[in-house]
Amino acid sequence: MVANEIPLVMPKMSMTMTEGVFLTWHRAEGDRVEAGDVVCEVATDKVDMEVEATVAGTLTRLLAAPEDVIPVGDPIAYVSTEADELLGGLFETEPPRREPPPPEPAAPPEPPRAPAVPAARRLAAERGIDLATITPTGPWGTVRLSDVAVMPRKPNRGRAAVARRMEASARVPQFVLHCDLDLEDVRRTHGWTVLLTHAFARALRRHPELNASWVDGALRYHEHVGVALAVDTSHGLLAPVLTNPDRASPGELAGRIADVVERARGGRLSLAELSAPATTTVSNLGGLGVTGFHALLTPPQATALAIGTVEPRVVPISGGVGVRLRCTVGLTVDHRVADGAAGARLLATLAELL
Amino acid sequence: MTAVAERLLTYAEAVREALAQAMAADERVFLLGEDVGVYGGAFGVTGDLVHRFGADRVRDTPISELGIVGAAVGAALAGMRPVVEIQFSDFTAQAMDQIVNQAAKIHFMLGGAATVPMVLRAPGGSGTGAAAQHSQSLEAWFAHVPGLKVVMPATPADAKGLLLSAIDDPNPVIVLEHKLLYKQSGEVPSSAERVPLGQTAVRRTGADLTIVATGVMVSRALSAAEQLAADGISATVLDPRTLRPLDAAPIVDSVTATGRVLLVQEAPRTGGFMAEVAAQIVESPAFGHLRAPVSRLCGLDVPIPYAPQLERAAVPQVDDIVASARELVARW
Repeated sequence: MVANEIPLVMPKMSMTMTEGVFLTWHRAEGDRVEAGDVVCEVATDKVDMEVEATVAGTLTRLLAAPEDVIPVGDPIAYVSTEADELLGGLFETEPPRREPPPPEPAAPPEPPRAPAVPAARRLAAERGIDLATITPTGPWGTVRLSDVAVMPRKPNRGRAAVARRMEASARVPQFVLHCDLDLEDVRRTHGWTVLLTHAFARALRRHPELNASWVDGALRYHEHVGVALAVDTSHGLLAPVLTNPDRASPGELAGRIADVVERARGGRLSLAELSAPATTTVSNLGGLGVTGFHALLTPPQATALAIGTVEPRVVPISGGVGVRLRCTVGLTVDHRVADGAAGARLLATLAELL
Repeated sequence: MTAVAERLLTYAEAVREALAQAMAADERVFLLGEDVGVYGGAFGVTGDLVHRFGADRVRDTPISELGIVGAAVGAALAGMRPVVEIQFSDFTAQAMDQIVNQAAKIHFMLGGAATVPMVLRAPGGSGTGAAAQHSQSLEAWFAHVPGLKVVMPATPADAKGLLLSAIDDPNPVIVLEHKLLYKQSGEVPSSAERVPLGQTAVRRTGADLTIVATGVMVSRALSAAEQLAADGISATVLDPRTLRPLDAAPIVDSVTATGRVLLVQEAPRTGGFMAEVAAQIVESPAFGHLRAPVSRLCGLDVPIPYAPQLERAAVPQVDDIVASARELVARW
């Protein structure tokens, strides 16, 4: 039986994933692996994932290096195997390769190496900066550490993902409605994020005209309510999705939110939680002392709720002034999907439910 | 151990105290060399020891370095703990066969059946107007011979503590003292506290560069670091203290942190011990942290001149260290 080389490829882990970032090897070249063994880790724009061997065999060639950006379906490594000879060719349009692939194809001549001190080389690699693009200021035309340190930083994956989504948001015509919610009489059984998320999801369920998306010139209405909850983490903004939170009791929802926030901050969210379809976003900056703000939509969601600080405020009451617990919320709406009055009605329902 | 009384002793007095305490503690320890007895040593190191321990244990010898070291090797093989003094380290050239081909080899060639617990003390270095045959820094010769340990104390406390460890050691140990240091004073513990061989001392810490220096260059590097601090350049100063075994880890750690290193030796540049330190740095994980070429500041590749101005110019002085460090930081 002739050993067959099977490529281990960059997996597609979500509908929107077109490329992944290679993170680290768990196994070395020449290692024996069984199907299901974790071989390496890669990252999508949302989450880090382990990649498992698909067949048993020997890791013959490791092609990826940390921070390499690899298109979905491209090989990361090759596994030499005899295990699936029978399947050889079954799923391929080309006959399977019987011989080890030729040594690295005639590599193009290496570009001249930019002279650089080791520390500069290391920093450039860490930041994904091509040394050849740096103007050296050291002796003998050598790139100094300080030459690299002043270069613009390549954003981390989380930053890039937010940038991509917000650029798409900038193409959406959106308006914002503000209103002050009176929370004085709300029974504070849970945190404000829980209570407001729960009430907002229920309100959205009652206004299906806003639980919708504008896609390719047509309105699409959603059967479910998916709330993407904005969570600030050390890796940047993450938005795990709570599916149908209105159908949970506030107590259950409190547990789900506490769990998801903790795992978001620990970098342990599953891809499914991050890529489940969301129909709206809830963002609460009140805890950071923000009075009120505009949230930007995350297409194709049609709404986003921005929650400000819950605080006692002096307000007019019948016959004079009083102090009431108030909260300014901002409702952002995709104007292609709905108009101002629809948004106002949603806010009125929210106020009523509270 | 409870409180250790420290007093100021000169480097020479510290060596003498180590010898006296070692001889008092172990009757196998004895001294031999030219003029170590009645005269008290060419640099006055052995002083009155002959009166305290007698001429059997502080033995004046004929003027034959080969004979002195040969006798010491034989005594060591026979179970004694000889401490040889060679008047000038330059004269070890006369004794090299006994040092290199006998003392360093016997333990290995006899399959470990015998040891040569001999200590050879000898002053090296320039600065006293003693000219080319009495001023060399020959540490690299000895460091290149497997089987020898090589010690270069830079302070009175180390002169005592390292010598005590050398006398304890079952291997031949070459202790290269420095003539200019003999009269330097410093705090020295009164107890027979050992300074272990193979432990680099951190003399000063700073973030901008690491200076590694040995022997008399340690105090010059510290003076230089003081001046550099006034310019806003902060330097770490490391003193390996023993070249064999070399404790490279603190050097690697410091260079990893500062990214710049200046290696200072009195010995001529070519084939000097700091070339070995440089190689160990670039072979280590510190490599990726280097932000400047590993730099050496060394004696010139010339025999030490007799004329005082030229003698001074032939080896690094404080100002040279300051200038080299400044340039290293400015350029890189």
